[in-house]
Amino acid sequence: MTLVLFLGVLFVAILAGLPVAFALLLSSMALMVQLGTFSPDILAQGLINGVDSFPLLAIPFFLVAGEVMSKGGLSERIVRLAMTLVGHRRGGLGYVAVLTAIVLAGLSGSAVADAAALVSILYPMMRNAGYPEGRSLGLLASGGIIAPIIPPSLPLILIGVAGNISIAKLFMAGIAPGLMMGVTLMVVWTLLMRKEDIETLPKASGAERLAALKDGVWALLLPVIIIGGIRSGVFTPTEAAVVAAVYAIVVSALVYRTLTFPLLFEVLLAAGRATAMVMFLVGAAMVAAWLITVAQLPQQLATLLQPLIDSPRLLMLVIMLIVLAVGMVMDLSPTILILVPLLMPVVKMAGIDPVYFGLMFVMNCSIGLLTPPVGTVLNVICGVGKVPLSVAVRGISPFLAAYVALLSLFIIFPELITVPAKFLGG
Amino acid sequence: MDLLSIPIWFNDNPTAETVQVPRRCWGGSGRSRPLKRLVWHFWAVVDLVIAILLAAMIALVFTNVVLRYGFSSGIRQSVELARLWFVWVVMLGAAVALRRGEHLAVAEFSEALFPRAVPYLRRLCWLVVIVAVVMLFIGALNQTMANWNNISQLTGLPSALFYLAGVVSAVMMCAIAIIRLIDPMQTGIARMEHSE
Amino acid sequence: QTNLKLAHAAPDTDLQQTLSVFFKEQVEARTNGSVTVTIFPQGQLGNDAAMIDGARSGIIDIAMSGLNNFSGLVPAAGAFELPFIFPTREVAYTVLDGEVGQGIAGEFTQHGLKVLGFPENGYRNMSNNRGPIKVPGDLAGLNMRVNNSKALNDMFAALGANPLQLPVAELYTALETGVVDAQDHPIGIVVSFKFNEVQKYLSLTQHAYSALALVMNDAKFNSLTADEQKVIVEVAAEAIAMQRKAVQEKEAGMIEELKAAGMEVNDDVDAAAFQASVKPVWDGFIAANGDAVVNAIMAAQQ
Ligand code: NA
Ligand code: NA
Repeated sequence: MTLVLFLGVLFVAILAGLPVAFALLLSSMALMVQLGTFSPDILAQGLINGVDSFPLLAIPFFLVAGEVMSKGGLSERIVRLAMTLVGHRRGGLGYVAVLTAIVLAGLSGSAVADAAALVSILYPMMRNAGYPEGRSLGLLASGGIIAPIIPPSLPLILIGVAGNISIAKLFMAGIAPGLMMGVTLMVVWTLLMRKEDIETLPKASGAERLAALKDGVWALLLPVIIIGGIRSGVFTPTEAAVVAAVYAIVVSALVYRTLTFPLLFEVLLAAGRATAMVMFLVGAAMVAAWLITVAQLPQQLATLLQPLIDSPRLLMLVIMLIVLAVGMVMDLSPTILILVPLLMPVVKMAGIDPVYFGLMFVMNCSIGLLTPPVGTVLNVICGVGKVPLSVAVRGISPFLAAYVALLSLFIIFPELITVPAKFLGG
Repeated sequence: MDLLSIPIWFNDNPTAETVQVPRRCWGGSGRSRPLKRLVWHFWAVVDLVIAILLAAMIALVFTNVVLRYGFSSGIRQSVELARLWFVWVVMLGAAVALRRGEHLAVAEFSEALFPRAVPYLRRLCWLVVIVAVVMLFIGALNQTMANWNNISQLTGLPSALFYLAGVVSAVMMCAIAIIRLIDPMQTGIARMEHSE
Repeated sequence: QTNLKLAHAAPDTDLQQTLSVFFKEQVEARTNGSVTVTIFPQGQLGNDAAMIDGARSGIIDIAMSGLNNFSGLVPAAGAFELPFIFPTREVAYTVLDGEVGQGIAGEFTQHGLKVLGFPENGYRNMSNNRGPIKVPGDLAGLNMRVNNSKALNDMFAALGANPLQLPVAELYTALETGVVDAQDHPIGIVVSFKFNEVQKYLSLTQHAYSALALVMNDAKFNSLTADEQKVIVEVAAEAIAMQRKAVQEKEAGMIEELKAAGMEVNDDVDAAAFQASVKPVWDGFIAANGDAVVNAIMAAQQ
């Protein structure tokens, strides 16, 4: 009953246009009234203590790194390199897109940033080369959502904090499924391109490839530094973010000479604002989580899901269907922040590996960024590519179907995630 | 125009200045001239503070990594100070985001389903915001007072400073919300109406 | 009919949970259900600082947290955390339950908290991946994760280690990857956080006694009837006595458990040498907070 009250107030408020953070505060107030403990102290302490988290410092740091890299032309250099490698094949620009998406995923932690970078650089080329526009945009958008799966990843950090899961383990667990997503896209693209007849780029010479590699090596080094640094104990995942930021600043200021002081100020400001937006939401979610705990909502949910506790796969399937449905209308971070504190106790009770769960959850929410009616990556590609929503949705559909199939495969065979995670995580 | 450019977001929102996305229902400003100048300067200072704090956080945490890995030493205060600055960046930034209409919201439903009710819905929403920030103000003020003598062992700073960020932010957000309550369809609220 | 929210940050396998369950059952039985208790373990209602703030403002009724976490409010309480100040547990109990402890507890009242007593976390011991720690020199150059206690940071610095700040939630991974080489905690925490999986050597240095404080919102306590207050105080004392006894009994078993799991445990620690090396830490504390509490603790040991 209390569960219905909480979710009801939350969704009505969101649909009425109240920002999600304030909708969370409003539904928290509803819970306070219900519990008979209406108190500004709960709100203020939950909000400030929710924001006061050292691991979440990674958010502004990775945002700074991402901004500097996009302004410093690192993504362009990666595209150039990928083009010299696979540009000459049938449907070559598609492979360039996927390869670039994977490398960018190792640099940035945000699906939307990556999708925007991919679309703005590669879409004009693909359109001019005669690729079907819907399919091209669909591929680029789908490539963008590899970013939150391969480390670094802001959603993985968020779910690590919200669900008390080791962020380093989540990072290591994301590498294999992220690569599998890339392979899936390539397979679908190959099937789609069998019938198309599009001219390819001339094959690049060894010298051209070497030149592109030399130019892009600074960018390519960053994922190595991040993953290697965490694995070998030079720094924690939080500190990896700051190392990434400093590295990006140094490379673009001293090597590429693209970063100026005013630009740096602009970057810091943009990152600070984006951080505030996300973290205020985190704080509001912590207020809600506090009241959810006190109102014993997870226990209510556990009672509802009780029949499934004994069969983890079935429970996982039900949760994934719920998340997929929620992902249709809600963005990634609020979905994580609202559902994970509710679900985590049930997941633990069922004996599901928290790292596996966290990764599946983030992958599912990321797919939600592609689904209509509310999909932020979808909005971005429509905005940047200047196509109507219907074209983009149709273009995305085969890739979306493939991703859902991959997700189902991971539900049936969790080992596809857990085994490589063990191997990489030591 | 600059104020309308959308910054890079992390996962929920459009990135890159080239992306022209309809602005959500929250934001904009428009006041009489001298006051407007003053307000503009005030927010410019807030921006500057946010950028400086963020730069300081990067410098501090990075230095600590270098000291630990390279020199087997460290800055004792680093974790606590970085957290404190982080809280200030977030709370100041939350007010900036409220002013600029950048808090994540779903305006599509109300605008599509009940276009005529939108001004009233907006007022209702701003009313909720006012209630929430007033609660934040009272609660954060209570904690600021209670923790003025709660001195951190490692930094020597009172833990009240964390809650003070909430007090300051609540005042800023309350002012914004009251102005918007009076005129909910101000600049930036009506979509695509870029008249800043 | 009153419901009390009791919060602590330990996992529900920890003796803090055992204490909480005992407290809940006995309070509910002896007040005939007029006072009920809901337990929130594992930091569900926030970390230590958040729980303390919550208990002070009354959004949480009872909180259990390391005494060290209160020393920002009551600096004198830091004396109990000084390295090697309590040679045995019995001395610690005498001091904490006696006049000195009561004096400190009185200071909590100014901050809105009623102290129900001081359960224990146990003695802190060091673990690391380099080798057994027997003499102060064995600590030289170790990257040591330390909590936010100034005394402990000063101590490890004085012993030549490199004290580092890291949230405890990130500690397991940091030990695993090697961001830090060493940590210090009571045995119970080593077991519940499974640090033995990522640490080879456990040295029973017993370098600091770590007390917990069981505190209640003062206004909430005063709002109860005299009979209810009496039950709460009595049950708390019994629960603490039970928990202290259990900690001691369990500790030996846990050390065996850690050995069986492959940890190398040594207890041949040159306590006298350590005590001499940490003298400046005591001096530093006395310079900042006066010598009243330290002298009282020493006097109580005679
Ligand atoms: Na990534
Ligand atoms: Na969606």
